[in-house]
Amino acid sequence: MVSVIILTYNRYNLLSKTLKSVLGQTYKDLEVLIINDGSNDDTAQITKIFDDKRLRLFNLEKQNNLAKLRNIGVLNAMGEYIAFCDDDDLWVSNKLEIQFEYLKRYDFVCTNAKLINIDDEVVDEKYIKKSKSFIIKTELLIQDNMVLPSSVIFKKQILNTNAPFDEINFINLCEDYNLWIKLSMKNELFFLNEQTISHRTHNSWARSFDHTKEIFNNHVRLIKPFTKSKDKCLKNTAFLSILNTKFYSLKYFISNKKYIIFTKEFFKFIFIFKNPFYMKSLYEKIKNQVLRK
Amino acid sequence: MKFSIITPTLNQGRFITDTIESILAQDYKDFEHIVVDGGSTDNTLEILKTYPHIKWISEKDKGPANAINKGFKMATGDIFAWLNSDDYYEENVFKFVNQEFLKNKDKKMLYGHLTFVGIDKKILFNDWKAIYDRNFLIKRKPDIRQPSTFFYKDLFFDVGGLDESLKLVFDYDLFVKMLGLTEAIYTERRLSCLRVYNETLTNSNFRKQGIEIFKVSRRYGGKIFDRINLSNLRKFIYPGYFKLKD
Repeated sequence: MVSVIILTYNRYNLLSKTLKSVLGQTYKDLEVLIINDGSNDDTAQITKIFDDKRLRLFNLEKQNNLAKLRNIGVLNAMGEYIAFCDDDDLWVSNKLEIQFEYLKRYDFVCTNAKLINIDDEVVDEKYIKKSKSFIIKTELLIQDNMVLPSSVIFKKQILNTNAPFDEINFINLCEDYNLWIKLSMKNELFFLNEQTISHRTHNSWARSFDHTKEIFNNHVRLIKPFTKSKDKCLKNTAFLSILNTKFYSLKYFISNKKYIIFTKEFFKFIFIFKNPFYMKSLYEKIKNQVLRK
Repeated sequence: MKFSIITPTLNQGRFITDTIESILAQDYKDFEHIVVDGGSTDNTLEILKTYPHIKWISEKDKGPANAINKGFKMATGDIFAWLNSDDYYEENVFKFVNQEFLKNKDKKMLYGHLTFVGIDKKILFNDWKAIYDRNFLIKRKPDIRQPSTFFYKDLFFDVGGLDESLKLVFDYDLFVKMLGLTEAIYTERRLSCLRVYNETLTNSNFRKQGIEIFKVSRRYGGKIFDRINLSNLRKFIYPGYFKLKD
C-alpha cells in the first residue's frame, strides 16, 4: 500500500483539485493522509465532500514547523511505501503505475515535472532541464536540489526511523533537501525523466524576497559539513557549491536592488576567504582549547 | 519544563519494555522519549513500533557516546537525561525534579540516589552516599549516579556534549566537565533503578574502564599518586570485583 502525505494550510480550492487527481489514480491501493496545519477555511470539513474511505484527516493546531508536520505524517502512515504531495500540485492519472515499474529495482524514485500557473495553463513543459534518467549521487544532489517532494515515492524501510525530518535545525526550509541528502549516502535514488506531476507556480510566500534569502542561508548551512568529509570528490563539490550559491545570492540581491544587504554579504564573503581569523572552524578550535584548560 | 529522555540500545529487547513503561507511567506528561538503536537484530524494533509516542532511529553507530549525542541533537526539551535500556525510573520522578529545578534557579544540574537491582527487579543493595564535587570526582572516587542525574539543555551543549573517543566512562567525563560550570542540586530521594548483571558493558570490561578513568582524571588535573588510582589498581589485580554469584 502507498501512503500519500499531503500538508495543507488555507488552500481549500487548490487542495480539492489535488485530491481529485490523487484519488483518481489508476493504482488503487493507497491511503491519503491530509495534515491540516490549523486552517481557518473549510479544510477541516473536506472529508464530507470527498466521501472516500481511503482519506484520513488530521486536524492540528497551527504548528509553524513543516518538519514536525511531515514527521506526523510518516508516523501515522500504514503503507510500506510513502509518497508526498504538496497541496497545490497535480498528479498525472497513471503516476504511481509508472513509478512502480522502477520501484522493483530501486528503493526511491522521483520524476520530472510540468510547470503550470494558477489557471492550470502550462508555462513550461520541462521543469528540471535534464535529458536522461539517472541515479542521483550525493555529489550531484549537493550542487542542486533536483528532487521535487511531490514526485517522490520510496520504501518506508530505508528510513530506519519514525522521525526522519530534522525538527530543530531545518524547520520550514530545506527540510526535504536535508532528508534526500541523508538518504542518498546509503541508498540509490533514481531520477526518472518523465513528467508525472504538474508543479504550480503562483504568487505566494515562497516567492518573496525574505524567503529566497533564507533559502540561500539554509543551503550553505546544509552543505557546510561536507567540506570536512574524507571523500575528496564530495569535499570539492561541496566547496564549489557553496561558492556558487554565494555568487548567485549576491547576483540576486543586486537584481532586486537591495544594496545594503549586498554590501554586507560582499564584505563577509571577502573576509572569509582572505582573513583566516574570520574562519569559523579556527575560532571553534581556539574556543575548545580554552574550555579544556 | 519539557523533559527529553534518550535511550541508547543494542539488542536488549528483554529489558526495554520496563524502561519505556516506567517513563510512560510518570504523572508529569510533558516529556519526549527518543530511542537510538544501534541496528538491533532481535525484537527491539517490533517493540518500539507498538509505542507511537516514541521517536526512534535505527542505524549503526560508533559506540554508546555517539548514539547519545545523536539523540540529544534531535531533542526539543529543556531538561535532558539519558536512561540506558536496562534501567528504569521510579514512580513520579519528573514532577519532583521539575519542582526542585524551579526552586533552585541558579543550579543547572540535579542528582539523587539509585537502587541496584537484579535481572528480575529484585533489590540487591542500596547506595548510601553520593557526592558530586569536582575535586572529589577527579581525585578520590569516580562515584557518579548516571541514571539519577538530570541537567539543562544549554549546559550539555556548552561543554560540547559527550566525548566520543571514550567507550565506557563518557558519563564521568561529562559530569566533571559540567561541574566546572555549575553546582549540582542534591536530593535524598531514590530516582532510578540500575540493573546489575554479569554481561553489562562495565562489568565485562573492568580493566579498560580503569585505563579510561585514569586518562580522564589526568586530563582535568589529577595526579598519579591521587587516591583514585589506588582503586583503579585494584581493578587490575582482581577484575572480578563487582561480579555477582549465581
